[in-house]
Amino acid sequence: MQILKELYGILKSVKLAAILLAVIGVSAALSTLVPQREDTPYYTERYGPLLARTITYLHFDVFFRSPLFLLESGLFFINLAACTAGRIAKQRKAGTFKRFGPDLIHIGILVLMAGAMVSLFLKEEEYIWLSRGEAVSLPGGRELVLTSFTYTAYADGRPRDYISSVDIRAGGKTERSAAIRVNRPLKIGPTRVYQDSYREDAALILRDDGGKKYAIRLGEGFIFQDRTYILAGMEGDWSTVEAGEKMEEDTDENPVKPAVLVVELTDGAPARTHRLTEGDTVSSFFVEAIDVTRSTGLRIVRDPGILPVFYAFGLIGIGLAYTLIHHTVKGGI
Amino acid sequence: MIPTIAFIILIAGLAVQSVFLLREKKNPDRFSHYLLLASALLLFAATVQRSVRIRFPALTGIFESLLFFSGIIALVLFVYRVKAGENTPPFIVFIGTLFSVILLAVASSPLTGKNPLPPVPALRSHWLVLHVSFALIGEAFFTLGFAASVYYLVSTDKEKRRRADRTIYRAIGIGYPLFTAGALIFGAIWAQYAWGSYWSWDPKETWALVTWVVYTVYLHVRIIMKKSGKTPAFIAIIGFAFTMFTYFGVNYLLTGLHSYG
Repeated sequence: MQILKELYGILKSVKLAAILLAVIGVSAALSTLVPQREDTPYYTERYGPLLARTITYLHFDVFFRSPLFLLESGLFFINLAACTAGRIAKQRKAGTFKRFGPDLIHIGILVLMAGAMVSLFLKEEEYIWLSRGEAVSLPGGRELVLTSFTYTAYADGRPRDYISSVDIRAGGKTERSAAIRVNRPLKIGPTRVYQDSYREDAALILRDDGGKKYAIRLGEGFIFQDRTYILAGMEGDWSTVEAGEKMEEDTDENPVKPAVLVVELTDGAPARTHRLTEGDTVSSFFVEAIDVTRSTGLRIVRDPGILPVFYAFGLIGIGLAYTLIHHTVKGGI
Repeated sequence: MIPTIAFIILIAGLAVQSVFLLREKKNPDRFSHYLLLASALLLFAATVQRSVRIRFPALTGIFESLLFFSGIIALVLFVYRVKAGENTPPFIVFIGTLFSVILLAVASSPLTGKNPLPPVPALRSHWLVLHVSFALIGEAFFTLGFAASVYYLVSTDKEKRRRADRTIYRAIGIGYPLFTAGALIFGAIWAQYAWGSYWSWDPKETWALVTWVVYTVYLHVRIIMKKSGKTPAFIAIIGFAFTMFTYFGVNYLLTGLHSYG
């Protein structure tokens, strides 16, 4: 019994808390010096074989999932729980709960850590790319179909907005239609769908003298009269150009006329870059069309840890506000 | 233009304070804190002007955050000077003002882009505005705590040290909840809405947490262990060094999600 009391005394001590916080702080800070989640050859090349082996052996490459970090965090959780229990018991004995601000913060941190553990082990995440008309299955037998994707850009080319319009279907019927924007995820039961990114792809449709058509996709090429032509990239603002539409002329809103870049290689070396729009010619080929395909990048997340974490934020926030007000009124601050 | 005028006024304030410090006057000057207030108001006006231009609170870039941070420090110093009155140690206000000047000097350097640019979609969030503003207000109080800590360590007079210790505790006592709410809670809520992950252990997040841990240790050492003196003052200085590393160092030395600010 005495040993248990002594153990409890050690576990709830502020000194232990300070030591554990210092250990967590130092190890977390050190981990930021090591790029996370890279392959072993990356560490070997960067740090040499001995240090690379040490990093991977100690799991410093995935530090925040490593046994060392989980051990530190686990000990801190026990210490904080014991400390909080001790504080509450003391106040209960004294019959006063005037200093419950720090207790709320401590309980909030405990709930936060518990929620973070739930997230760590139970969070499910999937990243998908969808083009218009494509669908992805969701948990619960539902289906998410991309009906359209709108991308707009500022005059300097930076993205202004990207919005995925989707239908949620179940049993062949559309349950609802919704728009997913950055910072405004779509909630479908316990699942949330986030607008994450987008990508553009172009296909150059060429016609030769004989009227035969060829489709060249981004990154692909063709050889003609000992020369290689590669569709290397897109230039200008393609945000207002939909597949099948004519390209817009230069305006203030659209300062660089959209075009594709075709690199001409001679003996394997780049010799010239052709900037092509519809109606142009390259070698003896006529540019019949440039088809643009735009895909949306969506992140589908199910995280049962999020609710306790948000409750924890509430508890910590109330605790901090109460403590600050209490100390200010009391004249401590 | 407005930030430049604010910068000149702030330098003028610093010059007045320097003269008083060099003459080893016991009491603070009666003028420079009004210059701090004027500078702060001008910097807030610049923030409002930029916000109107980009149609969003102008806190999403490093230049904008520097203007706001510098303005908040100047305002905190003004309030501190008014509240402490004739008991204000000139050294503390001088160090704080110097820091505010350094921030504006960095803002005017080629290290920052000055064109007011509307934010990209991920930054268009009111949680982000709360995240940045609360964190910077908290850090402005940490700056005052840092200045008082330096004053504590260089002072030999017992009464001066007692007052400095009190200032450190008050500054961190106010800054800590603001920083916790801004840097950690609002930041996590924003990240959850933007990316579906409230915490990614990105270097900036990690360093913000480490900074928070240091100030948590300070408060426990000061309140629970009832220690005053050199130890808490040292911890406050370490906390401020980490605050600055989180604000500047991570952006330039480490890579992560916070590449914009």
